[in-house]
Amino acid sequence: MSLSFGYDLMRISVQVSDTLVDLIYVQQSPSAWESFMSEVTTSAYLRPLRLAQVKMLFDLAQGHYWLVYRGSHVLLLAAALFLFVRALDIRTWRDGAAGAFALTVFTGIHTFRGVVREGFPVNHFLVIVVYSLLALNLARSKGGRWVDLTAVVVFVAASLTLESGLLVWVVMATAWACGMRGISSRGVIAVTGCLAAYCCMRFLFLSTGMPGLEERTSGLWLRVLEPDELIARFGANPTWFYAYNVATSFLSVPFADPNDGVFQLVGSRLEGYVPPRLYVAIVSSTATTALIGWAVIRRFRRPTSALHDADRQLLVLAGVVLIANSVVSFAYTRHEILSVAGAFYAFAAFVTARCAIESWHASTRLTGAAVLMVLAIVATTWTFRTAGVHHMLRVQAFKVRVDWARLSPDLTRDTGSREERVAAALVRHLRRDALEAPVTNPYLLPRWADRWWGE
Amino acid sequence: MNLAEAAATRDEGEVARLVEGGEDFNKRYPVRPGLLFHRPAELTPLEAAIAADDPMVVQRLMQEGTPFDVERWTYLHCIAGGDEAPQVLERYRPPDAEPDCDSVRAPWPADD
Repeated sequence: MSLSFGYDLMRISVQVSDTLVDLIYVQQSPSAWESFMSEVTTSAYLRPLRLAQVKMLFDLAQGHYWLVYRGSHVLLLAAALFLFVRALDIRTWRDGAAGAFALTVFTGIHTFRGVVREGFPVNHFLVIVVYSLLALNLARSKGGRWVDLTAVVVFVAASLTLESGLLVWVVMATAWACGMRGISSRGVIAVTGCLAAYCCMRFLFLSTGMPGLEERTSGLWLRVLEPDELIARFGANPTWFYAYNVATSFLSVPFADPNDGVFQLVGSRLEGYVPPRLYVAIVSSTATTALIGWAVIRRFRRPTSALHDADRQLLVLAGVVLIANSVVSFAYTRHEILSVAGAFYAFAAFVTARCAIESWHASTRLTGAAVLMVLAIVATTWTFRTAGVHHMLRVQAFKVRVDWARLSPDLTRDTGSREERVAAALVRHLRRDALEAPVTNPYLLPRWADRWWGE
Repeated sequence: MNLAEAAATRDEGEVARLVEGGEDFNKRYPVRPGLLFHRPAELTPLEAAIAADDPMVVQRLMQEGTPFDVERWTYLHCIAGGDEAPQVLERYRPPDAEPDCDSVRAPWPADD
């Protein structure tokens, strides 16, 4: 799976949006430390490690920007898949079968699409997914001083990369509360101390604040609103808008709708056409969520066993991470921001599949067969969704190339100050790389692919 | 894929690469069947973009080269049958152009 997604990712050039400005900045920056410090005093976000990472990779690239930035994306994705499978702790054939199902949920869910589609130049949402999965692996480990120290380092790195990095603390604290003692009490206390220090630094010392309504577009009911529309409607009191974002984020992961704050199924029906991809996503997610509900009842009602304890831990963790991730998305809602919740939803799917296989042996044949049949159908739809990620990545490669083709010639002109000419040379280099890259033209692909797998 | 085929398939990246690489955008190129029409055709890139009704590629190709005279613009305007390409063409309308499409024939099969 890593190889197949990696192949598609390496066919995408370094993108223009949310990337070019950062690359030009780090090109001029004298060091990773300077890049780090420049982000410490920004007004709405505290993400100093984000830009430092971009700078470090830029210096490492030595002109081979596509190779290093896309290569890092591939490595991050491979790390995420590895850590996810490792955390499943597969020991039996039953676990293996359940794990295969969980893997299709992990890669088929819409939040996963966000973390593979965007490059940025470093996909920091994927970095946070990796940190969160690493946190779970640490919590399930045998423990020790090095595990505790690693936990602290992971949290600090995550929290200084993106705000959703704070979810790493949620994973660690919840895992400990559920009985996973890989990270000791002292380790959790130390990480909690780091969280407190982060809050003090952000809100008291640096007065960084929070993102406002003017930062991004955001969905509301049936359409996406521009920042000026958001300010006009909610500028005086954004509380209801924030509550809406938290609620729709919470619903998005288990039901695949609303999407980025927009109720797509209702909106599409009112427009007279619902693309089949919406039905596939909503039906598979809703059916899986219903099965998860069944698994929750089974696991919390039955007598305790070690296996059931482990399953209950994962279910609680998935629920808590979903709530916490939804809260983190209060300012605006996007697939990528919910990627951690999506990843942990797949753990709940793993437990569900394991329950279903167990029910085949424990219940009457008819009940067990019925549950397994539903699971098999649902698994097929998830596999179909996962296959669609490859189509999405090919389309993304084409779109990135078009973005470079449309780039304003002013950005590539060899005029102005020395810094401007150096920046223009970088832009010409990246654009040349992008235009020379062979990509698949989606207009030559079957039309049904976009109806069933498109965005 | 040649420049006309790239325009026919809305591949703006490939159009940019070929144009900037020195391909002649005034020349006619063969367009394979299935890309635009069921039969093969010989089209200039701009004709192919107009047939594909791709406003962005039409815009890019209109910006290359010299401004259009009345005769050339009238020809392009008359063969444009889609919704979006004519709007782009309108922005490049010469001041004294009054299109008369009676004698203009599109370079592609009429029944395709």
